[in-house]
Amino acid sequence: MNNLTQKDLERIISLYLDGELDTIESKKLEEYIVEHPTAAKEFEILRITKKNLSSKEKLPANNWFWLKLSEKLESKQLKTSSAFFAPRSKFVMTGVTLLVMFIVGAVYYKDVDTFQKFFVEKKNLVQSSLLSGNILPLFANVTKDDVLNFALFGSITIDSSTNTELRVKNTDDKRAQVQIVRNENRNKLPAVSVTDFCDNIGISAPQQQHVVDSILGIYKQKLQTAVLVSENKEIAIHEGLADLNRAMVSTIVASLEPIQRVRFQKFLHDRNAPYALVAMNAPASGSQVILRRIPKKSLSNRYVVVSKDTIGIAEMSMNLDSIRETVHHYPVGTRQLTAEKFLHEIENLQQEFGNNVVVAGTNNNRIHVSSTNDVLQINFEAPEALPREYEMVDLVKPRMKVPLPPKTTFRRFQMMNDSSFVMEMHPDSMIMQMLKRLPQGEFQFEYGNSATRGPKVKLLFKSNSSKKIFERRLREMKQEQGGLIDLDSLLRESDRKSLQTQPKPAGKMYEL
Amino acid sequence: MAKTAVININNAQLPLDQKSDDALILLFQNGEHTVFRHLVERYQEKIRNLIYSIFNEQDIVDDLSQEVFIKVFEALPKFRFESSFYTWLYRIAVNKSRDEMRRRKVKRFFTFHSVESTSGIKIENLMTVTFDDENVREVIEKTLQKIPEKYRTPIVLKDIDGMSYDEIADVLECEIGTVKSRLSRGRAMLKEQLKPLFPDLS
Repeated sequence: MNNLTQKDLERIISLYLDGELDTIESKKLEEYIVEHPTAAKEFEILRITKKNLSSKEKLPANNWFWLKLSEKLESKQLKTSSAFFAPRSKFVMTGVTLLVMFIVGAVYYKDVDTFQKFFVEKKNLVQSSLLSGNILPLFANVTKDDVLNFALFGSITIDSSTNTELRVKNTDDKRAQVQIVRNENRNKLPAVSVTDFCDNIGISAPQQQHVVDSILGIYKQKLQTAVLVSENKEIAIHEGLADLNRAMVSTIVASLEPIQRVRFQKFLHDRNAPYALVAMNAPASGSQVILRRIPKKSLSNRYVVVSKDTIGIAEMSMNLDSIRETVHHYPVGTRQLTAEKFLHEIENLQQEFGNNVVVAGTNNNRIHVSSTNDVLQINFEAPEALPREYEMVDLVKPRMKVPLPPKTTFRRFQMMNDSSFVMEMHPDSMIMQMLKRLPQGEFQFEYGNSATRGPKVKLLFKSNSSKKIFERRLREMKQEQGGLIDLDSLLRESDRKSLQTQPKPAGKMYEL
Repeated sequence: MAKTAVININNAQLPLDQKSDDALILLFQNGEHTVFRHLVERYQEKIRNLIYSIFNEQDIVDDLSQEVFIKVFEALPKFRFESSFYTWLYRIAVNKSRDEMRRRKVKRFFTFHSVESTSGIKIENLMTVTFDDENVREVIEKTLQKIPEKYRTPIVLKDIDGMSYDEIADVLECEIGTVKSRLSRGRAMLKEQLKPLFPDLS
């Protein structure tokens, strides 16, 4: 290799460092470097530089990257299906959809085509705003010991630092209660491990231990999908949650022999557990019978979805595999973050609700939500006996009563029947923000504030003809939607209320 | 430089996180948008580190990386398998980085400032350190930022990401010869700036 120009030398060294020179060329360069100290220095600098760059330190992983990205994707309103944001699966926001249909129907009556376009846009907007982003299972990383303690005592810790726990109470076929309780100073008994439990009850045969372990494993998965926190600050609680622990205890009882049931009864009594056994002398069921009676798939996909704006019931077809996958990949520390998010939202909800009772649900299945400073309480009430979420609940009976919700009359959101409802809205609510963007036509909104009933919004029509067009459109909507919308009675009631309580401005007044 | 996608249909039964990029993209293009998450999780750290290497700033990494993946999400339905997803993704990331640089009106002209004046680290303090010392690495990384993007990006892709010339050419949409010359030129610029660091080598 003769004397090289500076440029050629740089090019050849660069190729050499990248391993792109063949053996002969490499050897020539090495010899040239030995003979030319300046070239040697340049070679060494480039070698050191490459070596340092190739060992550049990596950034710490960002475990929340996807969550933030999914938020941004959603905010850009990309064309996604509701199933896009895994692990959220497809779900039907029945109540919310109806709500949007009502509001859109109530404010828009000009043109059917335009209305339909508008309706689709707004429906998508609201659906994308509710439970959007990832859904995180609150109890993603529970152990079987946690599940056993939840089964026995109906409580599970959400956050130990703030002494917050979720409790369920279950009284009979008609009433159940879920509570999120904070800062309660009570002397809790030490947690029971599965091993301790088996020792106490005398479950020593490996096959029987395996059955108990399987029961806890199956219900662990159900617990993981029962309480969800969304990235969009809603929480969702499965309506069968209150039955979950009773079903677990009952299933465990079914696997026990009579002598073991006696021990179990004493065990429950000594620890002041909320259940007592019913069938003490029945023989143990076979493992196949027991496991077959645990529903693989929930009978109901109904979740109570609580947000600052509203409370509704959403039917969500959860993709259990996705949830499990999420749980499996749950990064360290995520549960704590999820719990923090959950607690933060609970705090917001408590401030929002105050001591009011919020009623949602249907005539057959009402849900009351109320709160005090330390407790957020969700009562499930079924005046008529409904099919239970879990078949096997009859081997134990609850030992305590579930209190009735406080009697207040403020009704923020009430289902009038299965397909219609009336609500009062906060002027800053998401729905109102949507309505404010609507073109003003033959109607207008009036904002009011009542000391007893809080802020509310009324819809005013400027003329009787407008009102008639409005009602006709509603009837058409009802026909188009196959009877899904039933607002006539609501309108009549609103009309009557308006006439009784408000002066008539230019036309008739309706309360939303 | 059109390539043909070879998609192993035998991996249809594999879990999503074990499927190939191409298989996931096909699913995405058939409406299974949930698979996008797997693609993101597979490459998010690579893209974050690529952007970090290009800018040497942590603050910008996550926002810009997310913009990259948003762009990928928008463009994925039109992905034609003419290059690997990996290099296509890198191309988008590099283009996004260039956009960001343009936005910031980064000086594109190399100026022969001394290391001392540009890096903020005094040369005399480095005389006694070993070559693998963190300080040297920091100076090298900072000096890399002084090189025009046209020369810097190939160095990042080659020396930090370990890409082949072929892959770099694919990412930068240029010929392999161009890649070689830019690498050579960029390294020469780096060397000139770093010479004061290595007086003992003379």
